[in-house]
Amino acid sequence: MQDRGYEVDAIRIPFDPDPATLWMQLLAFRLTDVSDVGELLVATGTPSHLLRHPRKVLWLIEHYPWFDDQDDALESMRTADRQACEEATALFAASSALCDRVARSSGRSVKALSPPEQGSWDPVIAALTGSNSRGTSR
Amino acid sequence: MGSCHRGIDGQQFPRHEPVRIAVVNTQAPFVRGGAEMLAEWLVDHLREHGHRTELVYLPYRWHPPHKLLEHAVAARLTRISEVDRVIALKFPSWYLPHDNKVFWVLHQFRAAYDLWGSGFQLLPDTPEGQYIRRAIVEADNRVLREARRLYAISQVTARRVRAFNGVEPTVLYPPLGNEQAYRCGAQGNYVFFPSRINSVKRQGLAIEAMRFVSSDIRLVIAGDADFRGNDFELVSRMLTDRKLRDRVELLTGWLPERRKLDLFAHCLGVLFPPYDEDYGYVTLEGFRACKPVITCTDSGGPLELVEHGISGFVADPDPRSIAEAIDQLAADRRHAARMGRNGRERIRTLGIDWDHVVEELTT
Repeated sequence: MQDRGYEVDAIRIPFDPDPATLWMQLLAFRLTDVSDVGELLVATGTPSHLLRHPRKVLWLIEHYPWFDDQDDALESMRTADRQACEEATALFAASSALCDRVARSSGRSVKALSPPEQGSWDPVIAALTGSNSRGTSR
Repeated sequence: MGSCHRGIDGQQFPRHEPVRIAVVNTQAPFVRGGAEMLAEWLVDHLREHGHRTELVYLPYRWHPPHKLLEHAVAARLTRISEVDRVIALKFPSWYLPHDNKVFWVLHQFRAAYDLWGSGFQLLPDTPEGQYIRRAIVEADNRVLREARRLYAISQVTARRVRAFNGVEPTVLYPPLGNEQAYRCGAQGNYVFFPSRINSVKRQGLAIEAMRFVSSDIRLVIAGDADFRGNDFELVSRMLTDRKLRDRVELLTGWLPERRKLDLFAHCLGVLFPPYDEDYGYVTLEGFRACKPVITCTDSGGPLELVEHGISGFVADPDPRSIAEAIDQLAADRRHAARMGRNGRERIRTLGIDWDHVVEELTT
């Protein structure tokens, strides 16, 4: 994105998939306010997709793979995940399998969008930014 | 969940085992200054010393003021796993719970401390502002005591922590990340003032001083503006109003590294007159480039490095006094060069190097 003229900053928030503290950590993501930072927020994982932003695009690379089916934490995570997906202005997932899974759990339409192993990132960036045009320096 | 093996109190980590370290910094996205660079350099040097290190961020904002508390709470609710040690640098990153935390205090949320009641107040003096301030101080009081070891980047910062929070940090001066890049070039006809443009750095004072400079020295100011349309406009307007444009050059935006190094290498001296700076990398940069540094009696951190008449000048925070110091550099260029070399030596004398920092923060 930077190569294409967008001004981009990466945010890396720690997370511990510990069921005992899960709900507080989810709350921490909700309290972290980046809503007026930049014109677009791209969230690539769970639970960073809980960050709030008026234009939030999800490009999920994973979908809370840490809990097994019996885990109580799973239910908290599912609820939060549905909320995050509902708020998103567009949803993408990195593989078709993940795409099916997110579409099923969120009830929303999700597009498969794989990171290119070789070749151009143009289609990915066009999809995430919702435009074919290049960014501007500001 | 991976098992989280942790150091035992008072003991060093076994040397053969790589220690997993998280450097936790506070992030105002798109804002980049000395603190952000320091965090990245620290990570690089920890890695060079064989520690597995990650840099993580807790984003935060200070406006509107109640957001401060929400972010402090968020930091407290955040968890980090698979890490043996956390090195936290700023409010509110040190609220992150972990049982092996080391703090290297770059600065506190100064609006709640020394800047409260000063001209640079970010928190309003309203019942809400007062409440937020008290909450921050009390939370800091508690959390600063969670640190296994507590460091501050300068005596100024350490003194504030001691005065306001009643704990005693050890001073650990941060080195530059890319010391080798600084060159000592021929003296030009300008003094150089690189810094973010804001009222605490006092570019206005520097510009004002240029009205009283009688030698043919120019001032080069370089820096991004924190809040465009505020300090930046004030500074630009001063230049039109005072017809100083031919004496002062204003380079805005993030300066390319090479251009900055050139400007350091070829200046006559560095001008760095901020109000009560925590540390001030600019001083160190000037010294590395063998340049004397002009600072002010109320500039804080730089005063720990600059010795008046030996490695620079300590002027009064007054345009005439600063102008006099600039003229003195111009009047005796050999002395200026000597002071610059003394400055470079000063860094060595104070033991400001990464091996020392890594040793302290990992044992």
